[in-house]
Amino acid sequence: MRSFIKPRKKKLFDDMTTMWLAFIVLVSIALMVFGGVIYYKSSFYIKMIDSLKENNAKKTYIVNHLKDNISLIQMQASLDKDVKETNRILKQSMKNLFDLIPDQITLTKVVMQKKSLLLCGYTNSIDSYTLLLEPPLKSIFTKSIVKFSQDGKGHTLFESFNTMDVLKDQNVSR
Amino acid sequence: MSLVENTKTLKFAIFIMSFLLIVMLFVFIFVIPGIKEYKTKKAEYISLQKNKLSLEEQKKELEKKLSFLKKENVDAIKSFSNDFNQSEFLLFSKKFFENIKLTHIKNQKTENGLEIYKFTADFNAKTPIRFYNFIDGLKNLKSVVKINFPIKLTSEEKSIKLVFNMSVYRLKHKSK
Repeated sequence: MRSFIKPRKKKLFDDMTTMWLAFIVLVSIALMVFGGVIYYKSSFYIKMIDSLKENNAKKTYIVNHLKDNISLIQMQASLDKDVKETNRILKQSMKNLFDLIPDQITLTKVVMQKKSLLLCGYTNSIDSYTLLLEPPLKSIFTKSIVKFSQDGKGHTLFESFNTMDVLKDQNVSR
Repeated sequence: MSLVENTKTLKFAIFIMSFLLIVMLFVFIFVIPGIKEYKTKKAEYISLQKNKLSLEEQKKELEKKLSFLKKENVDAIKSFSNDFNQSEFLLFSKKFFENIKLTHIKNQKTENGLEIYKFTADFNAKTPIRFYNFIDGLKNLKSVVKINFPIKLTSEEKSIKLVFNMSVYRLKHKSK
């Protein structure tokens, strides 16, 4: 048998299927490209993050170093001030002590401690001590012990030990 | 409905299903994790950027504060960085006292780099006023000198014997 018409080439897919497949492929490519773009953007941020982290670590180090230097200088400044103030107070308390001593009393030895004072000396009479020196000492110190003795030359020797308890000291320093 | 139409509908349904499946697959595999990562990285970047700005601001402020403090405490900083010159100190003490003797007791180091040299001074003075003047003069010394208790004063024939402790401060590492 022989046919008069040429046989049509049979397509692998019909038009509808081709269209669908093309559509699916296109959409898939678009989605992949979209995903790729997002990953690319993320990788850009990752790079930036790395350099920022490095930069921030350096800056943190510098900031800490600056803080250390500042606290060091502050420490020096406050210590310097403290030393000057301590020396000034010490001088003032010595001055005050010698101002307390009346003419009738001569000191031979003074030992100044942070919370105590030892005074040794001589006077004409016990009364000079008890009337002129004891009251101011008692007003400053919480405890005042005194021992008297005679030196044979007509002088009364005294040894006065005065202490200050912490509570009183705090009140004085305020 | 003819068989051809039925087949078409079925094909259409299959394509729709496979299209949706493929799209969802891509969305779940590429798009959603990508967006998630992008968002977290972006947030991290923004917080780091903020951190950077705050650090820069902090740095500027601290630098300003440091230069101000350096300017304000220039003398104190100098005094702490100077080595204690014992002969210079004795020369200074001679202005006020006689029979000058300085005995080194010990060195002490603190955590913040301070070195404290402790001395016992054994001086003779004519009047206590000399001692007051000496304390006043310490302010002008190149080193930081602190007078410590106990202070012993004993009267001798023509002068007062003065024994006291003192600390000299020095900073080991200098601030840059």
